[in-house]
Amino acid sequence: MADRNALLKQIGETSFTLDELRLYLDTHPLDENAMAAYSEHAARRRQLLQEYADRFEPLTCGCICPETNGSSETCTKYPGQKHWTWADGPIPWDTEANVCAKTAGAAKGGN
Amino acid sequence: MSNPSDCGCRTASPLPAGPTASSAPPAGEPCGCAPGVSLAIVTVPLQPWETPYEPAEALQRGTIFPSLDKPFFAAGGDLLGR
Repeated sequence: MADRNALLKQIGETSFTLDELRLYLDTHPLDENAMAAYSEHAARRRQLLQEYADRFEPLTCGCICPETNGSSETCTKYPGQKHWTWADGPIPWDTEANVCAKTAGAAKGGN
Repeated sequence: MSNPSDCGCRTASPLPAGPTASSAPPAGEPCGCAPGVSLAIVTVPLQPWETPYEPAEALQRGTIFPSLDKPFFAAGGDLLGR
């Protein structure tokens, strides 16, 4: 499936849609269409976050799960060992790593 | 008490002539304001639901609602130059 950056992009897009729907629902609390759209996109976002955490690292604290995180073992100091996965992956402001995280992940793995 | 149909955009006393003269139309001419409209009272209709953009496009456009998608750029394009 899409690699790290494509997955991050989808998470950002889905999150933006949810933000917009939240603003709309704040002023339209009885709008069934909007509520249905919100439920759909919220489920989609949870699924994307879970997939990202399983394959790479947890993005939110709700996704921290040492048993299942980082199955692709990219960007972790402890490949193959059960460890606290919250610090895995490139630092968010490490733009170079985030731009080509796939290569950076491969080069960085293990050190 | 001003004339009820008069929206009040004309000043009571004429402004001094010069570059900062008021742009209000001369007395007697219609000022163009819709009837019954008062200055400084904004009416915003409740936004109706509509089919939203897909997430990818919505993030590009900056909104999920097509009717709120108003790129205020002279060329009509958007910041990303599409």
